[in-house]
Parts: sequence; structure tokens; C-alpha cells
Amino acid sequence: MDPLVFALILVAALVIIFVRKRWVIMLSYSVAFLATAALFAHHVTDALNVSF
Amino acid sequence: MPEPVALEQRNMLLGKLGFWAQVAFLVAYIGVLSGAMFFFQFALNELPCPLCITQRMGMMLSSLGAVYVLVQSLRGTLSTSGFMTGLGFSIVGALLGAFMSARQILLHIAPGDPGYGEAVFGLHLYTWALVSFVVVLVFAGVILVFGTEFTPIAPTSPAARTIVWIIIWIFVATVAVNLVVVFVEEGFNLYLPDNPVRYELLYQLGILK
Repeated sequence: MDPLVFALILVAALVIIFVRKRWVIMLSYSVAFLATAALFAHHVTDALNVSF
Repeated sequence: MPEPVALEQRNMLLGKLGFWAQVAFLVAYIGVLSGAMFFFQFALNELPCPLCITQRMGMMLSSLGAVYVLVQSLRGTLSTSGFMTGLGFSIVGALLGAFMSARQILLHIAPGDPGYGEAVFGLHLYTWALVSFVVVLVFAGVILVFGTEFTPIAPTSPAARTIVWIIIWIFVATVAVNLVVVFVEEGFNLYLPDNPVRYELLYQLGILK
């Protein structure tokens, strides 16, 4: 999954450079952002073993 | 009341300062991503863990804000709302990255835990990552405090414009190189192991046994 998320970030960067429509840029950034957040959520597997 | 000419000169100066501040932001993260991290990964052979990789992604998402502002500014199409969009990209990217690095700091906060990887100046890389995300949040916050004063104005000199375009493309190349390196580390597995110790693809293809 990690290479796929990097690919989405790469696409977002290329869209920012080549595409002039703002909604396309915002959409590609949002997709990359949500994919990164989902990957992070997948790696958060258990509660932290800390107690304050 | 300042003369209109003096006001215009001040606005030009602040605009140029705003532009080069965004360039500095992008250069700093390119340096962190391609220099320090590849030094640790290749020279010291410290393979990045899954959370380290997500923090790189956070830095990239945050940098996309600067890329957006610079590209629009160089094209001469940067509006106030466009500038706000760019700052927004930087802020939400930095917030996500800060969550990731804070999570990793808390994983290793218990007394006696040696942490993951080598420490630099007494702090681990994920702690430095959190520092960098906080710096981005402060940077964007300070710019927003001044409203439109720092709306970037691109330089007119062809040399300066070319340099900035090269920096933008170096950032794109940094993302692409990270993509390749992570693919080699992960191989055809769906996810990275919690503590990666080898480049999986090289073993899966039979290059290393």
C-alpha cells in the first residue's frame, strides 16, 4: 500500500503543476491525504501502553 | 499616512519575502526528505519503519501547499483564495504528520525504551519530525496573522524563476524516489512489517538469498 500512497502524492504534485482547475487540484490532494490517513490508521493497531 | 509609492514598494517587498519564504519551506523539506533520511537509510542502513514512512508522506502533503503557492505565483494566477488554499494544504498535512510523529513518540516514551533508530542531537528522527511539523504550523499561522501582506510575488528574473522551477521538480523527483525505495523495501507484500530488516523485493525476485 505504501508505494500506492506515494503514487497518489506524486499524482497530486503533478496535478498541481499541470492542471489549472482548482477543484481537480483539491480533489487529488484530498485523495492523497485520505489515503495517507487511512494507511496511518491501519498501523495504529492497539492502545498505547502508557498511563499518566 | 505613507505615500502610495512607498506603500507599493513595501507590498512588493513583503510579497517577495512571502515568495522566498515558501521556497525556503520547500527546500527545507526536500533537504529533510532526500538528504537526512536517505543518509540514515542508505549510509547507516537504518530501514524506515511504517510510521516513519507515513511521516515522510505527511511532510510531502505539507510541502504540496508550498508547491501549489509557488506554481500559481510563477504563473501569475495566484489569488488570495489560492494562497489560502496553499496554506491550508500545508496546515492539514502538518497536522496529520504531527499526529503520526506524536503516536511514535508515545510508543517509545516508557522509561528504559531505547526508541527506534539512531538519535540525532539527543532526539530521535520522529521527534525531529514533530518539531518540523510544529514549525510548519507556526510558519503558516504567522503568515495568516498578517492576512494578505505576504501574498507571494514571483521574481521577474528568468534565472530566479528557473531556479524555483528546478526546486519544484526536485521535490517531485524526491516523491518519485521515495516511491521506488519503499516498493523495494515492501516488495509485493501489502504492508511493511513493523520492524523492517531487509529489502523484501530483492529477496522476492531472487536477487538476494
